[in-house]
Amino acid sequence: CTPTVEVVAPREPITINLNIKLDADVRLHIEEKAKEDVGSKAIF
Amino acid sequence: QAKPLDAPRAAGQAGERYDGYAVARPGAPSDVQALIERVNAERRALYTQRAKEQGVPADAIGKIYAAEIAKSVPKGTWLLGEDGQWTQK
Amino acid sequence: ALALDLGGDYDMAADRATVKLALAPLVFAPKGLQPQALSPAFGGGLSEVSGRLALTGTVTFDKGKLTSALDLALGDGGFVADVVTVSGVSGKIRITRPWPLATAARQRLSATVASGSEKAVLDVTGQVLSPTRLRIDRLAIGAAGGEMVAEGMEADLARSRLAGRFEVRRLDLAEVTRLIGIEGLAGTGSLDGVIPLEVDGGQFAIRSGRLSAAGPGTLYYRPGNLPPQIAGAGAEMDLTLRALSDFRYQSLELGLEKAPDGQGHVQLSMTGANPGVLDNQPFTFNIRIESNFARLADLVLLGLRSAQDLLGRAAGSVKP
Repeated sequence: CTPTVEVVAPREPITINLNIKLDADVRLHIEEKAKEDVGSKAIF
Repeated sequence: QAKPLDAPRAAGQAGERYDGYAVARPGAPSDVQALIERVNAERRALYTQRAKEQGVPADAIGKIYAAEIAKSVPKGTWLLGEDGQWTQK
Repeated sequence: ALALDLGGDYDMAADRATVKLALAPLVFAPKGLQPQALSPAFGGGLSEVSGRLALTGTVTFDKGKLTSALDLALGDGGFVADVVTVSGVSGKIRITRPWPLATAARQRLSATVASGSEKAVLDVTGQVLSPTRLRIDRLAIGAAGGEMVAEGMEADLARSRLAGRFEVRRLDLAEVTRLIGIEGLAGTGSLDGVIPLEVDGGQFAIRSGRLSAAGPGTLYYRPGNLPPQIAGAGAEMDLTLRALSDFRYQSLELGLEKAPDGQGHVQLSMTGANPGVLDNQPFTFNIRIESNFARLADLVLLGLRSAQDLLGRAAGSVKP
């Protein structure tokens, strides 16, 4: 059989613009969580 | 309230390591070693979850917890540093 | 154990004295000789110094002017400073004035710097103009599978100030995403570009750095569960996350900006598609991530910084 070449009009790309603000006080947040966990959980 | 590791730590059979995990001291009996393995498995799960929540490497989490653990354990508890040296709080 | 032989002559008429000196190679070792043993002034803040040091040549005092033709040879040098371990320091430096120190031009030194599990190979060519001023003809840093090279810089050591335009070549995106350490983020491909860097005091700034992928590659972001800032960002984010779970990019550009205080942004622009999303629908992404990178860098550094000092400080006065 002869291969048929299917010409598909190139689809327009979907454009996505995003602006993400990363909460920078990540470290403080973890330290507080650690204090809390170490104080309360039996595994520490 | 007393925690499972309090007694082995006080007896010098268990210590705390720089990366947030408990570790058996030389000569620790097998039941203490088994307890340490169970505790570490739960700690690993907790650190992994915290790492996901904050989008931060899990080992950084472990080290922050290690610092808190070192603060909370009583004087005389054995601590294993990253350089492999045992020291006593 | 300091074997130093000296010889010399003094020409009264010309008021000129020459001293010839040859210092037998000193071998430093963490458990052996340390610089502090020679004089408290040496080795400030450096521990576990190792390596061979030899000094040979002449010092001339001519009509009140001190010059020298001294060769300082360093071999397998190494030391530890805070969280950084330096090794493989080697090179031969021609000292043209012993005090205040100055060297000949185009002197070359190489070393390996490691912090935590990360390593970089440095190759520096330059000249010590004075104890606080360096001319750096070329600084090459081998890291993350690629190389960053800056040429023609001047460093002011008194105010630890340096400004340089780093050409980036063949950075491995897989290494870069691993270094960034965001859980679930991985990529492949090779990046080239320019990072204008300014160091001032203990802080550094990036003034509109630009990196772009040399060719197509992949980028995936598959977080376990989403950090809060991303989870609540709406439908467009859901589609983005589906696309980014296995994105095959045709083009990728990274814009980098970081102020000395850490405030900055990363601008990711990418075209490509995810074969499994909307039947390979092409996408164009412009993702801008703003943050205080000093804190994030600090966090990544925390992963690198030896926890020993964290544990030591937290555990109070811990005597070995």
